[in-house]
Order: sequence, then C-alpha cells, then structure tokens
Amino acid sequence: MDKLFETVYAEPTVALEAQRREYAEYAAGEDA
Amino acid sequence: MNESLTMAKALNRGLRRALQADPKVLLAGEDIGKLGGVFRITEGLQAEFGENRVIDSPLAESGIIGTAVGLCMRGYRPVVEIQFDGFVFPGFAQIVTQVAKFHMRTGGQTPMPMVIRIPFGGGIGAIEHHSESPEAYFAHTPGLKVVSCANANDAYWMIQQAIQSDDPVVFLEPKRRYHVKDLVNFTSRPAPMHQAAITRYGTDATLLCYGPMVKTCLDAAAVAAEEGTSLEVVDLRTISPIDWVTIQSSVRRTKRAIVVHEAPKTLGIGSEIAAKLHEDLFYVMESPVMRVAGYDMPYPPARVEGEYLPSVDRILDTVDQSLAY
Repeated sequence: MDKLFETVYAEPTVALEAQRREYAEYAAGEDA
Repeated sequence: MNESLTMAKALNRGLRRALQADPKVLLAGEDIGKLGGVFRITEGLQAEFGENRVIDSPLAESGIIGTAVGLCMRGYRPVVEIQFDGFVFPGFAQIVTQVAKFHMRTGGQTPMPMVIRIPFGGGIGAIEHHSESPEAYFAHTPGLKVVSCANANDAYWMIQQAIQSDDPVVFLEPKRRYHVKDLVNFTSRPAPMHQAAITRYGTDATLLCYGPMVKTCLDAAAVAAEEGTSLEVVDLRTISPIDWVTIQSSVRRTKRAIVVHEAPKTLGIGSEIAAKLHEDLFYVMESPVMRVAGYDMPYPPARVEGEYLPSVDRILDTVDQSLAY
C-alpha cells in the first residue's frame, strides 16, 4: 500500500499524506 | 511592478510567460489559435509562438485530452482548453481513466503534467451546457488536482503554477469574472497553488467559497458588516486537495461555517467540507456547517438563473440561520 500511495501523484499532497497516516495506524492496529 | 488587468488578460499574460519559459509547453483547444478562443484568453499567442505550439484542434474533447496524454508521455506540458464546462464530458473518459491514473499505473515512471483549462459557472445568460459547475466530478477522482482562481492576480500566477506542476491540474476559470479588473503584481512571490486565502477577516462566521462565489461572498460580508455582523471570507483556491489547515484555523476562531458554491448542493464540495469539519471540529463549532448552493436540477434557462445562483440575500439568510442556532 505504501508504494501505491507514493505513486498517485508526482508531487505529494497533504490530503493523501493524511490518509496514508490513517492507513498506517489502521494497519499497525491490525498487526498488534 | 503592478498593473490593473482583467482576469482574461491576466490569464493571457500568464500563458504567454509559460510559453516563453519552457519550449515543452503547448496549448491546444477549439478555436484557440486564430480566433484566440471564444473568451480571447489565448489571443495573439498563435501569432507569437506559431501553429505548432498553439494548436487549433478539431471539435473533439476526447481527442484533445487523448492527444495531450500522448504529449505528456513524450515529455511535453500540454495546456488544453475546454471551450465551456458542459463540453468537458466527451473528454471525461480520457481524464478519469487515463490522465488521473497514468502516473500510478506506471509505478510513478510517467507523470501527466497536463493543465485542463475550463471556463465554468453561470451568470452570463447562456444556454445549456454553458453554465455548469463540474468540479465535484474531478475532485472525486484521485490523481487529479483541481483549482480555481477568483481574481486576476491569482489567475496570472496560478496558471503558471499549474503548468509547472508535474501532476494533471483541472484549472477552473470563473467565466463571469473574466472581465473584472484587479491589480496584478508581476513581481511578488506567489502563494503556493494548493493554499487557501483569507480574503476578508471577521469574527462571527466563516464563508467558504471559490471561483465566482468569492466576489458574491465578499459582497455579502460587506452588507453584513453594515448590519453589525462580522463575516470572514475564505477563498479556497484549491478544491483538490483542500487546504484544511487554513479552513480549520478560520472556523476554530469564528465557530460557524457556511459553504457557498454554484454547483448543485447534493454531494458537492460543500458536502465534503461539512463532513470533514463535523469530524474534526464538532465540539468547537456553535452551529452545524450550512450550505448555500445551486439546486439539484440541470442548470436552468438564463431568464431564471438569478433564482438558481447563490445570491447575497440567500447567503445572508443562511448566516442568520447559523447565528440563531
């Protein structure tokens, strides 16, 4: 997923970065 | 250096500067060459830069966008003009299925540095297909960036920033403001394209708007001030991604927000803003986020468009509802 997040835009966007963090927290919770 | 220019002239100057700065920048669209476009935004550019850089295209939006996809793949930075908002839909498949996805499809190898200029919005007494506000379709498509200028200075700078962006940008031009003059500062360092601007400070409620509605909201704020109500006006400038930091900093102070746009209310940009503010600032706000928008109907005939478009009165009525909550 992280790799996919990186390829949506050529330049980073704040909105997508926030969603990437949200996903990372969700994924970390799944692992715990 | 400052100069008073109409938004149309400011866009023309911005495009000219981009063509001068980068030989990979090309313009294409219906009647944009010899005629200079129906709104004369590209007037004189084909004469100056030649038919290979300012291209009169066939009347085929799908072909215009599809050709621009190929140009991006070969390293060009095409700027295409869709003659009117309602005509973008024949090219919609190309925008959503190719333009928005190409960078991700190629694992980040092939960017789509394309600008799709669209004169949008109503208020010019036109027939159907000439007054639409399609921004939500594009803002709902990841991979696209969507911005709208509201004054000549932003038009001059933002069109150049959009052309410099390595991502596809849907650039919405409020056509009924094309001939409004503003001071353009040719030397000042521009604000980032994806940043909202507070265009009037206030304390009682925040009006959130973009494109043609910025002037209407400023007019409403001026009337409200005479009646003792202090309204803040935030020009979003960027619709996707939305600048939540500026919006939330304003709403945290005023504790009330009203979103104003011409597009139909249901599932418009106002819906997203309301949802997000309720998620993040529920305990800060004194009233629910309210929306003043077009009605959920196809754009009406010109003789009644004044009833359809958000007006100063409709905005102030909604401000009263918010303050009375």
